[in-house]
Amino acid sequence: MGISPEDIQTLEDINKLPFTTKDDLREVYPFGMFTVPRKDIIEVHTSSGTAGKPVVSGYTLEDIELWSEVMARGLTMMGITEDNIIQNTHGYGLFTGGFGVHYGAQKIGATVIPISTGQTRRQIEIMKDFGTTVMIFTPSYGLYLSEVAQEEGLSSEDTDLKAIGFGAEMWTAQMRKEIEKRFGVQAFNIYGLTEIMGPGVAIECNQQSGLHICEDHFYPEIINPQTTESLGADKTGELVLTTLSRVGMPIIRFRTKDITALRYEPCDCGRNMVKMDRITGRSDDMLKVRGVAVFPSQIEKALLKIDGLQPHYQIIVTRPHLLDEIEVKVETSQELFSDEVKEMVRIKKKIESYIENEIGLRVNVTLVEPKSLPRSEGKAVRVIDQRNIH
Amino acid sequence: MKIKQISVFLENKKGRLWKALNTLAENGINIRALSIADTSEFGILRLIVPEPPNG
Repeated sequence: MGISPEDIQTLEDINKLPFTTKDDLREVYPFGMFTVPRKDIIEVHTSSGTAGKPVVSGYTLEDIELWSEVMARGLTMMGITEDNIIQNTHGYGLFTGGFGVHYGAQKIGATVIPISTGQTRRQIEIMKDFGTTVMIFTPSYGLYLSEVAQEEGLSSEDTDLKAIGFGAEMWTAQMRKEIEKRFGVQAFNIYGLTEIMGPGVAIECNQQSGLHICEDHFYPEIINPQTTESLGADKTGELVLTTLSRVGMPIIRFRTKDITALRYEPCDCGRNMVKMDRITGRSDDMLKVRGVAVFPSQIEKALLKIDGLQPHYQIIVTRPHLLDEIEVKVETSQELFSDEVKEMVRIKKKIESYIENEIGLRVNVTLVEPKSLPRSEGKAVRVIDQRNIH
Repeated sequence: MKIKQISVFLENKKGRLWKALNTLAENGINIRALSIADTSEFGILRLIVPEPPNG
């Protein structure tokens, strides 16, 4: 690379360093990015790994301490103290969401209910019986929870809720408003990613106008995703993060693919750490469906495994009723056609199971007539996202 | 006697059957027999015509 440590004198010199991409991290799967002997890594997490091998994130004791610290700051920004009871519905496991929130909650001395995702009726029962004051969930699971709560006859006045923390999914201002209305408390955005650390990289303060990045631990930049040229403050582009203090797996200039902008003006909450806007999009074609990362290429890969199938497809993502649904339209072909309805239904089911194997989510396949899907010049419109979350 | 049957995949949507039959009509092809097996999403149209294309 021809760069020596002396070349790095000022912050601008970071431009001399190359970017790190998700593919770089995958290439060295599983432990290639660790900078300490494996025995010094006390915990690992992975990304969902739906698009090939997952990225493994390794943490030393110091790293876990750091993670707890940034997450604790975030919870504090949301106004949460040791007096609170936090019901953490993020999954505990390889996913960073559950443990990250857990560590931060313990650091501030709050009481954590490590309930994980699912068991929705039980969630509501515990929320009521234990007097939960803080709920942590993904926006779509939160909306679902509120519906079930309503069915169970639980209104927001019956709970002791004070705040909500949500993350792991893209959301709109309307979605936040809806969640706040249904639960009767403020909801705060939590941002993080496995490659860098997990939740806690940036969290919203009580102003709800962007997320404060823990700049002393993560150095943010915004670049133009096409040219990789650095963009200044207030410009919208792809977020790039460098870890400054991580021990077990430092990452330089990681391209998050998340689209946002950095705001340096002072915040009314009194904190002087830079704020980023909520994520409004992706610089690649990744879709987040029910919190799971899905790439159109994975669906294409599944379709190509089926003989006689034309790779003409369209992915339609909807949110008919709070939860995301994926419909994949696939063209029939001469080879694929049978004049037996039973056989056609079998083919449809087969395609569904192939796709489910690939992406880990149930999809609904619709067979459509040959040549009925739009063919566009150049890049075909493969994805129609009707959730209106951007 | 062997009879050729024509099977057509159709989406179970408004106008799809008409489109198939209209194509035959425009080309002056009569229909001797017709049956449809359908599901909520698609159906298979089976036809017997007096002179199937290419014999």
